[in-house]
Amino acid sequence: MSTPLPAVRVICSLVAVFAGGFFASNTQAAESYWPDTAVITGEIRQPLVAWEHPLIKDAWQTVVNSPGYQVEQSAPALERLRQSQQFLEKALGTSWYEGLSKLSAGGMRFALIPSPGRQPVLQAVFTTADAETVQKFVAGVHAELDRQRVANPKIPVVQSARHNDLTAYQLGEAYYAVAGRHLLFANKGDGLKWLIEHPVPEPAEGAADTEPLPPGARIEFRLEALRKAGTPQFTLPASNAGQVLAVGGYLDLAQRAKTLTADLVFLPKSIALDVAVDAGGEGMPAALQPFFASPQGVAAPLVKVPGMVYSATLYRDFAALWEQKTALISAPQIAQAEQENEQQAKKSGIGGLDILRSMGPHLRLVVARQDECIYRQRPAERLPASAFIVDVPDEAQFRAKILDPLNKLVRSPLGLALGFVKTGTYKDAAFTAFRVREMVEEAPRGDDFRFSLNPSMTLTRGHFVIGSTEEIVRQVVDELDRQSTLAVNSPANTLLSDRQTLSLPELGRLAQEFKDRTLRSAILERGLTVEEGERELETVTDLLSRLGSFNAETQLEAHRATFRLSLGEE
Amino acid sequence: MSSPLDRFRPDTAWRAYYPTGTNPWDVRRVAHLYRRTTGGATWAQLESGLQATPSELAAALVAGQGATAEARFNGEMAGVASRVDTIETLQAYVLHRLMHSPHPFRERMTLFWHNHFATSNAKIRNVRLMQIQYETLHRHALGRFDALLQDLTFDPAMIVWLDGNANKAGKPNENYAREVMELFSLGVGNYTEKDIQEAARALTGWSVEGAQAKFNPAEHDSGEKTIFGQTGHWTAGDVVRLCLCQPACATFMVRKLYRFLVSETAEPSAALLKPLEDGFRARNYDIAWLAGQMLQSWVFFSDAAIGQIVKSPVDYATGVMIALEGRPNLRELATLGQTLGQNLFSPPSVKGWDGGVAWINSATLLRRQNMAFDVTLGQQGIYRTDPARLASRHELSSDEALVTFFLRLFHQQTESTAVQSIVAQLQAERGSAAFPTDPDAVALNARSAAHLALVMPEFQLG
Repeated sequence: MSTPLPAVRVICSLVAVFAGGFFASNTQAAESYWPDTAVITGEIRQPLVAWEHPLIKDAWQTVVNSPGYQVEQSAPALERLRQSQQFLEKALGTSWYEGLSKLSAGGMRFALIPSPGRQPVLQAVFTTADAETVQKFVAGVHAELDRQRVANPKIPVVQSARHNDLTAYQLGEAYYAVAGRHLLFANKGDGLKWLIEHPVPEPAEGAADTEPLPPGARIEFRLEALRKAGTPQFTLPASNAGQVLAVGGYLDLAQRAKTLTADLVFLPKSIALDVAVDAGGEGMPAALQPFFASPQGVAAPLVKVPGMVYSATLYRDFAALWEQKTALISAPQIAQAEQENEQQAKKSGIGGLDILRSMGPHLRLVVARQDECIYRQRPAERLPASAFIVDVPDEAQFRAKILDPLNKLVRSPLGLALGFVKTGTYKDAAFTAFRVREMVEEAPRGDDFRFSLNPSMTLTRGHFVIGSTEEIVRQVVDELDRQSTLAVNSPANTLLSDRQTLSLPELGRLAQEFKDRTLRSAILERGLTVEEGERELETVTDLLSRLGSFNAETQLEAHRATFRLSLGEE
Repeated sequence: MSSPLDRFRPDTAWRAYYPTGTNPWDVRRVAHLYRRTTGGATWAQLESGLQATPSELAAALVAGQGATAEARFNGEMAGVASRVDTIETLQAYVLHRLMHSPHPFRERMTLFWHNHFATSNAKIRNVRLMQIQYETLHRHALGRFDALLQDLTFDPAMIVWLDGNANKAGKPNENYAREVMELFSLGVGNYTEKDIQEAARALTGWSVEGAQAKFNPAEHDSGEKTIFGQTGHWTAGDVVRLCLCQPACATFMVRKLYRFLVSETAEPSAALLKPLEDGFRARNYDIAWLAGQMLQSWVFFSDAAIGQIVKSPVDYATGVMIALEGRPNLRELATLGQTLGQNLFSPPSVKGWDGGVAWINSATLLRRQNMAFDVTLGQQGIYRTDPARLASRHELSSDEALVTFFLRLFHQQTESTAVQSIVAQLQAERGSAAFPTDPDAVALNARSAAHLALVMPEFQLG
């Protein structure tokens, strides 16, 4: 089995470090530097500043002190990393961190350019602190190769040639040259030639470097160029109703999109990845508009209850989409869907389409840790509770078509065999709850999850709430009351279609519920002792509490969609 | 035909060994003691073992780190123990105990009893019952054999395994009666068929409900029975007592434990074992005493015992891990044991695993060699160990030093011929006689040396 040459490994490590790093200050300059035929371009600036971000630094410190990390010290990947550090120290005559800092001082830019009939050309420019640094690095790589060649004569000799007063080197499929403080790299000779002939523009005096720019990274995909001919098109009306209703809007956007840019943004207490898809001047088909938010309606606020682990809100007007069905779905599919709906309604009292047509466009889901236990048998591990909330434009119709048949279902002979139904009122909200029947003898091991459940539902305050426990349904009612007292502020240019948040500290607390299971895995599969496993779990909980929350949201305008993922404090 | 045991006299053979010029206290004997008590030793344990006397070390390994340490470990493991939901989890749990318990000799003895009272989950199909039996074996592992036999007679898994459920008054089932005499306490030829039939009657009335053994007097044959010439209204407990009263019981058990702890090849005479039998009997079947006597004796530290046992798959796998200070995925290790022929909690029959050379055939030997490769040169992800890191702690600057280190660690066969043979192989693989200086090459060289040491036939012997 051949192993990559250490020097090439170092270069790849550098690329990986850079790729995990920073943000272009002058994207315009980056875009105009590369040829128009480039399909992917990117720029990264000062990667090590990312390393210094409080969130990353904190998280890393927590991880390296964990028993799991200590046990993995013998892993070959970590060994290679150590060797790379030693190489840098030797080549640059300074600590590996200082060396990496100098090597990455000016950032990195790269492009991928298709080349008919052969592999695409990858071009990259690494800008170091000064010419001396890059020269030492390259000399160090060459010296390392020479040293290894003594033991392994199969390692190729570095070839060199002159081009435009610069020395161009070749080692296998790596072509590189030093131009001032820049290291030019390409995987093809003509790629390197292009780089040599197109000097990297230096920033003007007192310009971008002094501006207070957020650090990060940017990568841009020119989707029009990347899209292959003959890729199946998403056309309307489609022959798959489920596909249209579930992902139709996204499919349409994907095939209209001209560019996709991903920006990694480092804010003081969080890190965000902003992905923007630009669909150019053509808007989406009008029939698909109810798929996303619009000036007429945006996603409702997230539902937040005590112990919330996850909350999501989605704007999707299924009822309006179904009204547009002839434009969206083929006639046979419509007929089939309606027939199935009729059959379901006959069997169980409720049809799938009836549900869709009765729902409003604001759908929400919340997952939270349970506090109460209504059963005598409290399971060792309890599943988190979850609740689904949807607004209901016509409560009377919803009650007749959905709620009453549901109530009938839980009172069916099968339902009553498994448990019993309880009704009640909470703050004027009438609710129905189902409780699992508790047997006298001990519940069999592994069957405890039944006693995490106590399904409950209510139709109140213009919403239908169905949850896995009475407790969460009550908490949602409280939250609906709280939200109704708040003024809804929606900036004119914010068209929020969906939003999700995952509370990592609460996830850590939830993990404690499953401590024994997690510990067992740590001990039996990862070779830790019990004490180490417990410390590992504490480390994970600690790490999660430091990371804050993980959020995702989508904004859609006529020609542009933005997806944001962020980690940290909001 | 002469035997290596011929030079031992019964009255002195089991006395405590002490170092002499011809029988020095060396790393070979230290490692031998560790292999038989804990499955293997780290480099540090080998070095520190040389600093203790043989009796001190034997006593310490037999006794473990003490009741407090054991109680703390058991407390820590309680959560894991309560979450054993599959047989694979139980296997991994047992291996963890073997590698991390403050009393690893107890864990090894528990596996000995698991093989002795061989009960298979293939028929029981109930992890809880298997775990209950394991806990019973563990509790009595170094206690008294009479209590162990008593508790196993009423063990739910055992009742199911040997059809105690079907053993009722008027329709006796002889399975347990036969095995308790033939396999568990007396051995072949020390009972009659009449003894078995009468014992079966005495054992009637027991069944399993849930995880408990229950006695139903209505299904018990309360009539008179004659077992081993003694007549009475015997019940299950009496069967156990009567078996234990037979002189053959101590003889049978001592010989069995000798084969496990001392040697599979040197067959001792009845006379040689008699002092142990007498002591075992006199001390009410004290297992710890018996094991201690064997493990600190002249016989044990002689060539008649050293390297005279073929390592079981569990001993082989855990031995490698202990020596290389690995942190393996224990589920994977248990699966490996299964492919090597020892599927814990699923012995092939009521006789257990035959052991000895039966562990080794062309397929299992190949798999053992594959493990040696994976641990040293291949899948370190599963085993989380690196011989190169181990070697780097000792500043080994020549092939001879490197090879000697691993030979000493694994099986102490450090004769110059063995060392030179492996050095030659190393240098041939490398294509150079010069000791490497490049870090990658140094690491690869160390791993290769470890691999070559592990695949020597000597490492199959414990």
